[in-house]
Amino acid sequence: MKKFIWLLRRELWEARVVWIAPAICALIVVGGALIVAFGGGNLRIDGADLAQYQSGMDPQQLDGLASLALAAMALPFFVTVLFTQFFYATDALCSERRDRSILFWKSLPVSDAATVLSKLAIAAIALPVVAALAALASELAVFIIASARLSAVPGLVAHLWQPVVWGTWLVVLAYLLVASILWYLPLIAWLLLVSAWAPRSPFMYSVLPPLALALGEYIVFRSHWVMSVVGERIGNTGFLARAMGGYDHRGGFGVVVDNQNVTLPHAVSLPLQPLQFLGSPAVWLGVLFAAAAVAGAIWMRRYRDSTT
Amino acid sequence: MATLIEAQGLSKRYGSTQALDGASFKVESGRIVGLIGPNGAGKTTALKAVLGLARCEGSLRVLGLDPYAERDQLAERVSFIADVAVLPRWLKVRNAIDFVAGVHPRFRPERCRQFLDVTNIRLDSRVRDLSKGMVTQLHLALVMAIDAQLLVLDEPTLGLDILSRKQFYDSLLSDYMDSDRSILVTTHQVEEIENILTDLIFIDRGRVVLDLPMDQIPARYAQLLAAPAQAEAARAFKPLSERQVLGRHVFLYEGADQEALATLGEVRQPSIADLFVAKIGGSTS
Repeated sequence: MKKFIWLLRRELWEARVVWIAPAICALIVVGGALIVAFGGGNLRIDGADLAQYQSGMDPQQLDGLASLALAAMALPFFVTVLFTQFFYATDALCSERRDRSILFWKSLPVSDAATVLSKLAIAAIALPVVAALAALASELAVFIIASARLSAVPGLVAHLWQPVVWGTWLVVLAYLLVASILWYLPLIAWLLLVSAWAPRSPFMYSVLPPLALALGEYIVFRSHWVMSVVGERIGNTGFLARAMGGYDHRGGFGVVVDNQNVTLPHAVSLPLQPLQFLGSPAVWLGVLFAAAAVAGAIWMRRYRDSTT
Repeated sequence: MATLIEAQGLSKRYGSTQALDGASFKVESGRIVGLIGPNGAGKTTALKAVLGLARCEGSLRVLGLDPYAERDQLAERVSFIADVAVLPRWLKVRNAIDFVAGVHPRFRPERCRQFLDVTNIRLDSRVRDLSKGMVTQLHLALVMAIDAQLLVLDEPTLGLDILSRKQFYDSLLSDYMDSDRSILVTTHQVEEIENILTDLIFIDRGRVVLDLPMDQIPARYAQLLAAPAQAEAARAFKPLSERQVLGRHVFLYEGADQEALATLGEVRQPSIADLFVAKIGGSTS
């Protein structure tokens, strides 16, 4: 266990992207909020003053708006995570062969399984957890900024700090975090496997086989099964459909605002479906696939003659 | 004296190349063994087999373990420097020490820092900022602070300048070597390790062609420098090789009567390089 923690630390020394990427996101979100809040001029939506809106809305809608703001601010962090996960996992087991440092790592009494699992832990768990924490910190900062800016508008600030709003958001965030880690595990394991195996250019080797498979399937069977399985796994629709209520995408993430009223997007009010998620075969087939791919990556690092 | 490595009939094939072809050798404790051979002779393959990085046919025990199957256990007791400059470029010196200390139970960080104190390497430098010689010094400092029974070095000084090379072997001898440990080293620069070796193994096309302690070389091998007039008589002693240098004939003999040779000219002890050329150079041309 002590060795494993050192392996994780080593990954963090090497892959500074783990904290740099969320830090940049946080900078943009918080910096953007500062500019909007104190950049001069009045805050207006469609030419109308904020106070005007507030008067037209019931308290529930205002709380809903706060929830929406929280969800919207987290979005860039999670999009960034997908990219950093992709590049980190693609490179993880390839770069040590490229710069021959694998010869140094292999001279130390550390098993190949521990090494591969440490890289899996960083890609699959550390990256999204760090991003979620960064998102939360940024949201706190933005709401503090907003409170300072909106202190003149009576009653509005209180809606930013409703315990029920923040409590719900924490539950949603934690649930989505755990669920998405499970959901994306097979993708990351696949990238690690290719990274351990590819003679060069792991990017190409990770992307081309699924594409070739899909093309082959289309030519032979005129069907799109591979494409839809892979597409559903990568895109967020497959994930959200299982983790949240139903296959219903009405409203998406758009918020409709007019002079009289604010219509909240359907997505925000979707119920969490942990039982449906944990009961869906796609989740566990994915985890099984991930286990096989990780075992393959460990085997590759252990037995392939990578030292020539 | 314990036997640290025992290899019997090691064979390994890469595609159509026979990298090792029934090589057998032993390494006892307290020895510094040079594994010498031309490019592609199988040196690196043999070292990989010893380190458990490549599977070979034949029987091989390293510290009583099967290196390929029990590599994880072996890694605690065997250190190696596989090549120059394989330390990752992003690694900080301080972190390198911390990491090895974290994963290696036989590593003593304070000893490593002592070795580094006498160099120009600073703890907060990154490997990418060090010269090639300094990277090797760092790697050696890390490895020497590990209390291992066997140290394997594969071309550890390739591409270094002569000062760094000398420094490398000096610190190895004075700060590391003792009677319980052994070093197995391959290198092309045989002249430099000639004086530190205790045993010599020549390997050519996957076979061991010579294996003997250095102190037996003078009794077994002799080099004769003879004037052209004596050349015919010298050939009667069946030299391993003959060449002409500055108008004199140079012969190398194995197991010849050295007193008789002395009547024909000047008899000297051959260097490793001479032996290498006679044993391997002749057979490859």
